[in-house]
Amino acid sequence: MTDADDTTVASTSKSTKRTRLRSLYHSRKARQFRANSLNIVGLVIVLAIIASALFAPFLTPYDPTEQNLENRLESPSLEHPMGTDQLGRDILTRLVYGAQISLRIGVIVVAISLGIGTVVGVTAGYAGGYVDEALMRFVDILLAFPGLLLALVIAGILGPSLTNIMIALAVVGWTRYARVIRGSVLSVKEQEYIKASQLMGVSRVRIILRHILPNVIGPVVVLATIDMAGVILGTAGLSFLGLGAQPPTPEWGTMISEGRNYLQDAWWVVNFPGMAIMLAVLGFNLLGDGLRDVLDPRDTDAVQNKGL
Amino acid sequence: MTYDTSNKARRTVLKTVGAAGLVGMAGCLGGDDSNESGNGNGNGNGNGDDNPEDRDRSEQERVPHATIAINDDPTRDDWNHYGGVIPYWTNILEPLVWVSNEMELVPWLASDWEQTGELTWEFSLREGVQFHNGEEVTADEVIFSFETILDEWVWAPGWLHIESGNIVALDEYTVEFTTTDPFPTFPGTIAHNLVAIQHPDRDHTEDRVIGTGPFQLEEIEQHQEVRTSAFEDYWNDEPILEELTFRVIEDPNTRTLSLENREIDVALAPPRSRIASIESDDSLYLDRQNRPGAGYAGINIHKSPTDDVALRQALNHAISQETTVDTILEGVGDPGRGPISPIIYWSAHDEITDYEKDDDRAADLVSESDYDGESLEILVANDLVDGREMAQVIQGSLDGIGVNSDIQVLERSAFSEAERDGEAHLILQERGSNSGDADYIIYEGFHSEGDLNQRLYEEEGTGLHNLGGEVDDLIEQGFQTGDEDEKATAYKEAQQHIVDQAVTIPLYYSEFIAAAHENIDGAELGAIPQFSRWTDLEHWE
Repeated sequence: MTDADDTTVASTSKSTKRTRLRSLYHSRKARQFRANSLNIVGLVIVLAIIASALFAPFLTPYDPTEQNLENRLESPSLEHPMGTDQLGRDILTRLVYGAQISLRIGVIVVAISLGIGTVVGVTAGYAGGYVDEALMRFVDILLAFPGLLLALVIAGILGPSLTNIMIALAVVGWTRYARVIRGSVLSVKEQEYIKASQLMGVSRVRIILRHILPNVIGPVVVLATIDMAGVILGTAGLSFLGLGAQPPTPEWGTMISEGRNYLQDAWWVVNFPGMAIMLAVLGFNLLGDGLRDVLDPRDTDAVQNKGL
Repeated sequence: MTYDTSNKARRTVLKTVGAAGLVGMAGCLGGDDSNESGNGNGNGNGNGDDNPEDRDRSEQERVPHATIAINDDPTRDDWNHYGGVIPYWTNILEPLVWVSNEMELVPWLASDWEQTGELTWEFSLREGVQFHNGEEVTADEVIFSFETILDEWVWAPGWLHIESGNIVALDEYTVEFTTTDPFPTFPGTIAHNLVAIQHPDRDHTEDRVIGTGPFQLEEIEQHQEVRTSAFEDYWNDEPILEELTFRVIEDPNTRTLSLENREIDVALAPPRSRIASIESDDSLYLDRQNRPGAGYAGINIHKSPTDDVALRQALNHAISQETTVDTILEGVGDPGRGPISPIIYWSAHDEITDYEKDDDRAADLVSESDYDGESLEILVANDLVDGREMAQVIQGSLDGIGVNSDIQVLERSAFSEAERDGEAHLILQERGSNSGDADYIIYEGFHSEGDLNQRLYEEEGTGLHNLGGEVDDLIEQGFQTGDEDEKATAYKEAQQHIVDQAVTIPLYYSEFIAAAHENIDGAELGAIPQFSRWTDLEHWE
């Protein structure tokens, strides 16, 4: 191959990519998403949090765990835009590093929940009968416990650490996915195209992977986005109670917990982490709402697509 | 009155820092200053210009009641055998022996006592002391009170070294105790609020607590408050107030807020983070009292790499006690030098030399030692006040001399297990005494068969903070002698070894604080805070 060929290939693929992006941008769903400014706000917040997490070391000159007892509880200034905490650490720095932790936990927990939920939901929905009954009653039992309380018990038994928080939240979190997916699978598996595939002798695994999963994943994406907010809030809550991050990890909930004694004299120590949690939760909720508007199967054209 | 000036200086500086904060300046200078000026204060009862004794009360009138907020619920069910109220704090029930603020034993319901044999003790009761129901205190009630405790708590016989049936009345006002083994610290051990003398007619179902104290129970509102009134026939100085209410407010911030809103008049143990604002508030003042306790990081001397004395000494050189007390502890407590508070007479505080903060020396010691980059585990209980912050300060200091560490904050029972299993290298703790006998602090912490070391010592022949050999002998010698000088000599030598071998990283000597409204006079905090007395409490309006 010559260099010229390479360039041609590259530019072609680049232009197709660009075309695809452009068509995505102009697609009906994208326009629908953009039409609501709240959706954009959500997207911007989420992107900002992701960016600050990714580029944390470049955003601030300080180390998140470096103490400076002489400058403790300093109010916000040019040097420390969000002030310093009880050990003289820069709060802004801890917040951006904290974003890494919150996002990492959010993504991992949602991924695990989604994984377990999908497997259970699809199995129950597609297999039906006793399998369905058994799995769904188990889900019902888990759902009967108040979510955060069950997570609290699990994290309490396992001992305080971020890994254990992830386990606790994932154990509690997957049930909703299983339910939603099972519901969708039940309706999708009655479709003619599934029947047709079965008649053609397509294997069960292939039917599930090729024909069912792609058609049930829409509502789950929405759920996952909104769930990110829930997981971030849950992590902060459990850490606030001392079951999560061990000091000096700059986890948002831990920062609030450690700073709450200074609430009256140094408002910045708890209010900034509190605002960070609020913004993150708000961002993911807005984004999730926007996605739901676009992807909801009850939406008219979605209904048409699925032939209901 | 040296304390006053340093207190004032610090308050001024803290105000400056606050002001700098308000105008949004960096405030570096303020921070530096507060670091210097904080040294050495936090002693005694002095409170500078807020001192209530200096106030002019001529324009004011006495109010006959007051409310004290306490952190510890005195109405829990555990106290049913005392009629429903814990003998701590409320001055309703009193023990035979009292403890002064110098940690000396004071004859209380017992006017005198002596050791009459190797195992026998004779206590003479004060005559004419009345219970709240009007009956006189005699040997029978004393025996009843002790038998009740021995029956109620399985650990009581081991703690008091007496068993049921070993307490007899020699006459109406003389009681003889026979200990299970030679126990020279018996009088000090029973100088404890929990060994209170009560009348057999007490009944928790009717909120009937019958003690001998200056205040008698009026009403219990479970988990809310205990209302008391002055007992007119009290054998000692009668209280000034007519009514005194103890309100349970467990959260320290809420206690302080309630005080600021004047819902209460005295708040015990306000949070350290609020001290600056309490001191800058003209209508409030802070009372301080040294306690027979100390905060330190106990080093596991049987676990690699902290089994190396050079490394342990390095850790000691890495920590600045002054900075810790001035910053994290907000000046509450004094910088520690050893594991035993200097208000206990056998503390070796004055004899032992301090490991000065010296990062270079520490780094040299680290390179001399076998330390090879391992991460040290710092264990903290979640209910240790400001424990997380102290752990992080230690971690930061160790980082400065190239020693890595991880912090593990555990809930109290998990902490105790992990501690005794020797899972950590550094264990943050505050140990003190609640009775006139402080011997158990050194025994339980540093003797091979003491509470902390026993498990590993018996299972593996190791332990945690026990140097063994000579130190065990010295502790036993001090524990078994009734002679104060001999005890002091033995214990001081043991502490010398403990400090030389760097078994602990001393942090601070404990101090008890209470915040009160300026209209309140005469709170007498005890060295053992539960021994605080409220008879001289006055409320003006």
